[in-house]
Amino acid sequence: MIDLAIFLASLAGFAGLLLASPRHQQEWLRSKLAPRACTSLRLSGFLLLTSAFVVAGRSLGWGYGAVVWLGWLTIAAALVVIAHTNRERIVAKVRR
Amino acid sequence: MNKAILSKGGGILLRAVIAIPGGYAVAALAACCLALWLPLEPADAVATGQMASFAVFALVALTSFAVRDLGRLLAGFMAGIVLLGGGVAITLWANLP
Amino acid sequence: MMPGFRQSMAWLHTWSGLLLGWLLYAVFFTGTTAYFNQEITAWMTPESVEQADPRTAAVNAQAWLARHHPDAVTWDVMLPASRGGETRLSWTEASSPTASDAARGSMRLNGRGLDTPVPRPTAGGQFLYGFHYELHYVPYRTARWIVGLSAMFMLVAIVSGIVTHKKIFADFFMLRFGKGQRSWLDAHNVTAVLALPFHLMITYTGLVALMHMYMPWPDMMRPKPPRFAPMTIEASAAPSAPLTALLPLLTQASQEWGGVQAVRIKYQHPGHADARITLFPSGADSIAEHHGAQIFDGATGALITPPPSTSNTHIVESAMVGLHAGRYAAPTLRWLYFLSGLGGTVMIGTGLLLWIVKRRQRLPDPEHPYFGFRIVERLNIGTIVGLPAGVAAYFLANRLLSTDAVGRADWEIRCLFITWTALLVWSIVRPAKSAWVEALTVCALLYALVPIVSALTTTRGLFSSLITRDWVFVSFDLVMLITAALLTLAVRKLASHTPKAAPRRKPRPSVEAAA
Repeated sequence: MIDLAIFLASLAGFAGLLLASPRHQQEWLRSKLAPRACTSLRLSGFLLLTSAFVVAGRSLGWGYGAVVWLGWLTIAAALVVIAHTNRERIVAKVRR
Repeated sequence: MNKAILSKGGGILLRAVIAIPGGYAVAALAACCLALWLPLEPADAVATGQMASFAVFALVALTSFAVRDLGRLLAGFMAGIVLLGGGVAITLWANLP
Repeated sequence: MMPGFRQSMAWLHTWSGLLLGWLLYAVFFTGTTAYFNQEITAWMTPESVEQADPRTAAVNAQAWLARHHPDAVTWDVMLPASRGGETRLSWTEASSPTASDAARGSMRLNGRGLDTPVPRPTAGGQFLYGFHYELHYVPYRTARWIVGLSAMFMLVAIVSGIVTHKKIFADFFMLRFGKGQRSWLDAHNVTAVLALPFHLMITYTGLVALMHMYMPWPDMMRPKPPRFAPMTIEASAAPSAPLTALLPLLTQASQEWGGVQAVRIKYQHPGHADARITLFPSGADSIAEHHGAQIFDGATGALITPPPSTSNTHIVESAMVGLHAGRYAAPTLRWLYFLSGLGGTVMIGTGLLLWIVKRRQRLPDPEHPYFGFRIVERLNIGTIVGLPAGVAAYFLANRLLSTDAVGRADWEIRCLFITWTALLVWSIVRPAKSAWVEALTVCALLYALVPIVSALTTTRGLFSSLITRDWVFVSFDLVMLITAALLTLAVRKLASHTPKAAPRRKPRPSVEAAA
């Protein structure tokens, strides 16, 4: 359960970071967001990653939790990257 | 760029020698200095020196390919060997029974 | 005169990566399997059905040694982990004056310390674990030095890679990608950046794990008193006396260690009044080792040497080794380790491919590439596909070789190297692209065969394991099938792929040329 929470928070965090860039907004949403929205997306992205670390550390112990956090961070980022690489297929599917 | 380095055949060989055996020598001497000088129990001082030595090795290896001037690289390397080696030698000599 | 700093780092990254890339690939691949070495051993000894239990194993192993080798001077028992594995015993007979004598023996017992049912002779997951730092067919000390040197190259390759691609790193962390299609070869960058903490950690801690061998000089400069008096291998002069009961000692030691279980038991002069029992704490309970071994009087059970207090330096060192080996990791984290290790393997493999891809576009005559190019290209196929195929053959041999064949365990290992060599030779004689497709097809086939052959030759196939909820066997077979599926996918992609058709992203002249 804790692992799921860490994973989901990391996933959402990286997705936020990804969408904070205007170019990616263009690619995913077909429009650019306001600069303030970008800033808040980036901020909440980092906040989610940090909170994943806090959750991991507090529930699993800081040493063990840090390792688990890094592990999930890697997986989450890898998934976001894979999704981003295949975005055309995904976006087409959603639009249909 | 490849060619540029390779054409200076002597340069690349010298750099590799400084990087690999030379890097090991500097790392070993640095580890010995830490082992001798750290105010810790012998086992701890030795282990600290050993743990740090691999970072020293990597640093020397990278530096030996990063410094542009071969002469300066050689001078810096020799200075490091002399300083660390001298430090080890003096400490060992001072500790002779 | 060296060109700019970044270029020289890019150059260093390319060549330090290439020179020992194949060896590093093999080290990473087998090292990754080692996170499941107990589970692999369990799969390779399907006769041992019972769940491993370290405490039961300890008592039974002692009884076995007392029955078969009552006169030995020393006994040594490696207990199974609670997640599985076997009990490994060794002993020294009184007659041997030196430790390397023939009077040393060893024996494998199952996870409960019993010698029945007899498990088929196999090196199991232990072989793959050992290969990742001691290789095979090479004296182990030489092998450790070779692997250590390649780890050093890896460290240099990582740091120079970071320096070269600083911007990529920053962009990746923010997940800011440039435009242009990203080919599958970007897998090198992706796996490098995303699992960077793992790569740095695993390389550095790997060196630290063997630092007394790689950096012996400080040990000589500042000798330290041994933590324990070395065990003598001289026969005891004391009168005989029965050994004390083991379980109370295990319980007492565990309490002293704050709940940590023993992993190894050493006996000196068992069966005599001066018997000594040394218990070593398991690394399976925490990252760092906070406790030392405890020595008990083997006849009375009294504690002779309490666990020495550990210094901060020792905690740091053992934490590094602990992080590397991951013995402390619970199942979820163990899988994360496994995936990170796979990421490292993919990173090295795709890095080796990049060397070829970048140079193919600049070949003066693509039909007749120069000699070095051909060597790298063929070694790439032979190693990147050959080693995994060999491991699949190792698993298949485990099921197909007769259980009472002479030298069975050795033959399993030979099957690995025969398959690997065969694919290497095949990749040399065939045209490059056909070699890729064919080697990958063979590899996929071998992996798909593993669960099928296992189901046909044992009673513990995938379906029966599902019914008995034997998750170790289920996971093993599933990993084999997933590997086969991914390899098939790669074959299909490759078969429909024409090189040079896809334009690479805008070349950055300086770095591309350097790399």
